[in-house]
Amino acid sequence: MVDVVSFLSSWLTLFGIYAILALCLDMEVGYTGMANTGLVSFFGIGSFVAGYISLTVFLSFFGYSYPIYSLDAVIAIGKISGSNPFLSIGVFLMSLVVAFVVSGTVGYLVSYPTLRVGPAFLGITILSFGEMLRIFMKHFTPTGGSYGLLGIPGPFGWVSEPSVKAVLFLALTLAILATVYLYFQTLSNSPYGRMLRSIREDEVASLCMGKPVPRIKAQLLFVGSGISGIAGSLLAFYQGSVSPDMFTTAVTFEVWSMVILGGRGNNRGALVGAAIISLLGWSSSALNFYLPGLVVDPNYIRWMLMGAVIVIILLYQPKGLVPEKPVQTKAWSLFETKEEKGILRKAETAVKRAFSWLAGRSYK
Amino acid sequence: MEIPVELLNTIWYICVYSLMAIPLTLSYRISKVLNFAHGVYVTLGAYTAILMSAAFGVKLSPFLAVPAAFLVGASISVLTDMMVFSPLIRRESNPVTLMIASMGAWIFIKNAFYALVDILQKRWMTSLFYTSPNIDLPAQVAIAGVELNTRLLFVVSLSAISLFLLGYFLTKTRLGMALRAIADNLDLAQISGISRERVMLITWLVSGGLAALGGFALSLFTYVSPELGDQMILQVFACSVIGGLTSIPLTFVGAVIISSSENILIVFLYRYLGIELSFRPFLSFFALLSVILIRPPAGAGGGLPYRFHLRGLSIQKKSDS
Amino acid sequence: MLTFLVIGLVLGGAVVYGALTPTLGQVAELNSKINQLQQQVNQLTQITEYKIGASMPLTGELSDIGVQWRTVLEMARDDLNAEMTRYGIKAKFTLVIQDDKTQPTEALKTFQMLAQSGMKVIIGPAGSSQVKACKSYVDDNKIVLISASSTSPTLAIPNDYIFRTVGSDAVQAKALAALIDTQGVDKVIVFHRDDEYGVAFADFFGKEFKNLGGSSTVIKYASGQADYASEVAQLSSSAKQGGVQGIVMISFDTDGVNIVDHAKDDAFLSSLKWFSSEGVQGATGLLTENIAQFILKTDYMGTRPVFKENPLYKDFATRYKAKAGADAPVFTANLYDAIFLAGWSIVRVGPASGEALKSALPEVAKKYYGASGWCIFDEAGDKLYQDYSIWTVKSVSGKNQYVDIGSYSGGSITWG
Repeated sequence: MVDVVSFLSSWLTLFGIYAILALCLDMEVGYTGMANTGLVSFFGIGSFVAGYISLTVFLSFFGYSYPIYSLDAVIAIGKISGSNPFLSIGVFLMSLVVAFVVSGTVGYLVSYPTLRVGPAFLGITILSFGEMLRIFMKHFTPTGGSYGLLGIPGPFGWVSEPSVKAVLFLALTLAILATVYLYFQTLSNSPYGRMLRSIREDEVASLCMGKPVPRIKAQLLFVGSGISGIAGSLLAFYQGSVSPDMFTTAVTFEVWSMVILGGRGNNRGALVGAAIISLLGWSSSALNFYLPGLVVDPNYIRWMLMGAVIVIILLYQPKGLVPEKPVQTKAWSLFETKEEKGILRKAETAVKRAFSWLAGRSYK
Repeated sequence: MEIPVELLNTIWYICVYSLMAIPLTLSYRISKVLNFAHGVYVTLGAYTAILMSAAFGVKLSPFLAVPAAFLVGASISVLTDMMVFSPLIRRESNPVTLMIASMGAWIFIKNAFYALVDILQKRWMTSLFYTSPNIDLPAQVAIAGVELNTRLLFVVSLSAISLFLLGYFLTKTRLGMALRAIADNLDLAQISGISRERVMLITWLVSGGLAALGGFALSLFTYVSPELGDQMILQVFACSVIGGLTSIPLTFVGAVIISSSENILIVFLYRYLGIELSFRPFLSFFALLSVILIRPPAGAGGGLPYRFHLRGLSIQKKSDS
Repeated sequence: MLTFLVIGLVLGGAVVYGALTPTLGQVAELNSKINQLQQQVNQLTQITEYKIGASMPLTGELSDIGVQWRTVLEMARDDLNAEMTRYGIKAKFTLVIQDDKTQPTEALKTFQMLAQSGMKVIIGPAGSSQVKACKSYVDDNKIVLISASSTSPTLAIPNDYIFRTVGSDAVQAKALAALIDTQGVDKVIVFHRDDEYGVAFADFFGKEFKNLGGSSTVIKYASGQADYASEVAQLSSSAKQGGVQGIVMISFDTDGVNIVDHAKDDAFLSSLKWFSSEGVQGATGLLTENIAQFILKTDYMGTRPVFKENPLYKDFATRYKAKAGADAPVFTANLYDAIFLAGWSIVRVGPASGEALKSALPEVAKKYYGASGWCIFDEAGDKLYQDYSIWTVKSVSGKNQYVDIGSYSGGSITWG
């Protein structure tokens, strides 16, 4: 039988990392209409920064001078990674911050050339940039080149019990996810959020109204890329290794599916989409246990199922599963009717709706 | 006269890329769907001849393989449209939704094909995962006293004829003009009595079929695997984007540019600047970025779907061709 | 009168009952004895089912060879179960094979999935970057990872849960250098993949070849591309310029076939001597007629991690060919033995404890001689004794086949 605790901790951690990515992408695509198809490059930059900084700091702190990608370094790290809790956590936090800054800056810089090609070709520009970066990283020796980095010391390397380590890391990831979610919720349910939507709906009109559209886009790209970088650092610490081949365009497409399935312009939708795609991946791999010895290899059926589910969800809910809601700034609450206020009322209506949907009727 | 092999390779790739990229531009321009499943049509086209020759164990005549590949590509393309794109377009979905749906279709078809090849490989006991079709073409043919590679000649003529036919179809026939009308102004075209469904069907048919021919052409050049579509898709998109995603002649220019950067530019860079050969994929994107940064293509026909169409107003230039 | 009848009947009944009771008791005793014996029989014939997990590349770049490895795994499982029956051991193994798309993060997810269903020993993944992605998870959660195809020297780390039943490329580079030296070739170009496998191999090869008095230059090509025509064109010009005598190709199977396919059309490259690593051995693409011509012209030879004189290997190769219709490709013998090692370790210490399995595995391997030869591990958990064979493609009774024409063992080459 499946070990529930470790299943949840591994699934939820990866879900958390992808959910952060989905939230960033949703802010860029869903709210602002910027097609960021190069998300994976900022994700990758964050991972490599985290790996580089943590390995370099650890090795130099303990007096080793091996290059960080060499075998000696890995063996040395294996001995020292659990020895100093403060160093582990300190390096972790430092990596997060530096990853945010570096990824964000790169995102900001990338927005310049895209202004020239116009929003129409923003997508392909960032995508090309992403691929170029990946190939460049394969040749860039200080961060390991095509070897990548191994043995990245996690923030909880000093904890001896592995299940505790996993749960702690999960808690950390979910905490970061919650912070990012709250931040984006505040950002979107405010006049700034309204401005973002106006850029999505009609950029020219926004410009005419005096909004500094290019500057806002650059700002958002900075924040979004920075947070993607944080997600990348989390992945580097979780997996313990990074390599350029982990960051192909397939990752971007996966995160895009999450955002579109969940519903654009909607932070909750991004989470729902991330949950669905992650869960789909996990549950379909369970097929291998229950369908042995078929003519068709169950692994192929697994992927076919994923593709089919994406198409089916989109056929029945083309706007995504969670519909977009109006921007709910503080001023909005003054205009809300009594019906809409109150959490309990909302919960009540939600439950009633669920039941009548199950019963096949529509609820008014 | 010894033609440098780099030039020959460039010609191969121009033919192959144009056969793959031009249908992508065509399908985007008319249906506004950025079809990620396009790569699969290429793979299917490449594998039609392979599976046919493996099934019947004979050397296949190229004049049989070409229509077969076209038919397979066209039918899968039309099927995808009927099951995925049309229902979504009827519900007036967002172009981004269509793009993601095409990704779902891509994953589905690709893995279904993997499963098929897997089953066939086990039954026929031949290696099908990385192979080349058994085509009945002599290796060399002498024309005007010059020894030429028959396959190259065949592929060049295939692409030239197909593209010429496509051009003729789009500009001189009524159906072709109907296609362009739908692309340029949907409402006006529908008012004039052009059936959108019919036009879409023809578009997907032609686009899938031509992409399959591109795959077949590539299979004559080198060994192919079921991953072929995925490996080529980014370069094919690059060609289309250089063409602004709407202009067919510019897409051909894009094919020339990408093909040259992969075969000629990399050689120059390696010899004179010492840049590693492993930067070759980097170069295609570099070429793409340079082109669109230096001369951004006019957003004719709306450009990529992420940009919404201003309702009613069109601030786009007149589309070329 | 009636009273006497009733009393008589009651007394009679009591007497009859008293007489029968001992017999009924015996019957009951006999019944319980039968039940006990039945239970003992059940216990003796009860077969425990053990699951071994495997993470294989069934889609993605290595899918061509991944599906062949899958056949090997199934063969190994059947043979292992047959062996269990022969020895009367009450164990039956089932395999669960998951596709990891030849990608590192997917390999990690596969391992987590398999580990969470209770498996403590998992075969795979195929590539070194994938093994690296799983390393921290298997070390933390005490899962034994056995890879039969990861050869990167950067994973030779002692005291971890990663075991590799294939020798490091550091030794194969020696073998290849020795081979080239015997052919009288002094100047080569090493044409290699830009991933871990290719870069490390080229590195080691360069050093070994220099020790033998030769010189080599490297040309790196991008991995994962559909076609390498332009790289081969440049290889040809560089070879011409450098005045080299031989080309050393370090590749996987699909790119190797592609490169050879293009090289055969190049007059200059066909005039040189060609050598390669094990990546392309077993690929059916090299068996076609026109490529066979090229192989003859260039005296194409390669090394691979197999000891051809091993009777167990010969038996395995014949059976694989009968089952799959093709020659056994590379790393198949290592994979086959990996299943056996895993199976026997489970039989020894049970399937529940990863730690116990980690200690049992080297012990089992120490005394195990399988299709890939001696399976003993070194302190880093990698195969200690790896012999290499020298292979080429020859026409055998009208059909092109892969043949082993020599072996490299203990530093020297023996032909034939």
